[in-house]
Amino acid sequence: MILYLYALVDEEPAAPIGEGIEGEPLRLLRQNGIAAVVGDLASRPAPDHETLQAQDAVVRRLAERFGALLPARFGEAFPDETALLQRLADPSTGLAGALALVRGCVQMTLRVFGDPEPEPETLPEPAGGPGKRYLEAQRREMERARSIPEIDPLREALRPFLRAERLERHGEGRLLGTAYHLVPSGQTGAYLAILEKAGERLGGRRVAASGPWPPYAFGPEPLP
Amino acid sequence: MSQNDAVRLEIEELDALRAEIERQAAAVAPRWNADPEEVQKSVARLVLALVEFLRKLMEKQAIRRMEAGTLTEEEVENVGVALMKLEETLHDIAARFGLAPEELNLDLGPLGKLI
Amino acid sequence: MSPPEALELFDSSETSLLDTVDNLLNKGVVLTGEVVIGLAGVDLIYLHLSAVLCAADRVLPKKPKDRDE
Repeated sequence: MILYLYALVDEEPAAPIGEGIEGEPLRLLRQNGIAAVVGDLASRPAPDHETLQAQDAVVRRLAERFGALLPARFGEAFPDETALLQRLADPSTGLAGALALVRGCVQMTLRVFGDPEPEPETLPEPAGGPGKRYLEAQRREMERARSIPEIDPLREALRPFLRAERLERHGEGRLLGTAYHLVPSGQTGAYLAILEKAGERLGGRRVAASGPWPPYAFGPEPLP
Repeated sequence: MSQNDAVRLEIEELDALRAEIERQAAAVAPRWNADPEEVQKSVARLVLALVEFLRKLMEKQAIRRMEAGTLTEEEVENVGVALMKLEETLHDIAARFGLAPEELNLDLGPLGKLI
Repeated sequence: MSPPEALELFDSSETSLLDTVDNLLNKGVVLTGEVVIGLAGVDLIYLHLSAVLCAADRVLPKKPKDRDE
């Protein structure tokens, strides 16, 4: 038997939380103001399409029961309650802050298709020795991996409706990048209206929007 | 979102999405299966990939501290040179086993995305 | 000529699947942080990295900056 984690919350549910992906009853495990929504399963589920969709359905239902919810990644299984409670007791998980961030919000996912803008002319080399120049070059590469300048005008237009944003630039292929937007629930209408009006600002690229989703992309960072 | 908003995707965009789905699904259970016939190369790949993972982790930390100003100029230079040399050395060793640098970028699942 | 349709709002099965995979397999909170390694077809759980790693300058006391000059 394993303890399977579906989501993290910080309050009591507004209505019964129902069942998990195998019809098992769900319950809350509480520790220091954070609660884990869990179910008991015989073994760790396999990530086939049906199971993924089942978990997505469970998470969507849970998201309606709580003001703030952080979905767990698929496959988060613990040997017992003690193991999970230990992780919840660790303040460095960043869960409380992340829950405060996503409260009352949904995630919209924008996928950008098209050709990348040519990279800007190489900026002048920074001063310093080879070690510093190397780190600076790596820093620029990390920043580039988190930017999609091709849709900057669109992002600017959407900014008033974003509580937070995470960007990922993809390596190759027509899928240029993905933008994850955290939008307060009451503002999704205004957000979508901006998207519809912004067609002409996209310079021949295409943007596909999907959502609203529970805030999968806005959990705390797993690594320092 | 209403059904009226559904629009047909262009063929190349469907392909791009499928490729993305496959890429992500493949990263679900990161496995380094040591094929008994190529054990040496598999072990080398595993070891070097783990070291590269740690190297990238340290690099990310160094950059964060450089940005935060908690490293002196001298420390930035020393750490930068050390990371650079470590990367070169890893690539050299990898090449001796017939491994390209990209093969050291094994996706470590939930902890794999460092940049 | 009107500009090409640049914005799509999807509800197709292709993007739903990609979103579900992306959301559940690539995103979401990680508390276990297991890295699983397989050897000759056998899964061996290797590390619980996220329970161990943390930034050094948040853990160690700051060194006094003594410079021998």
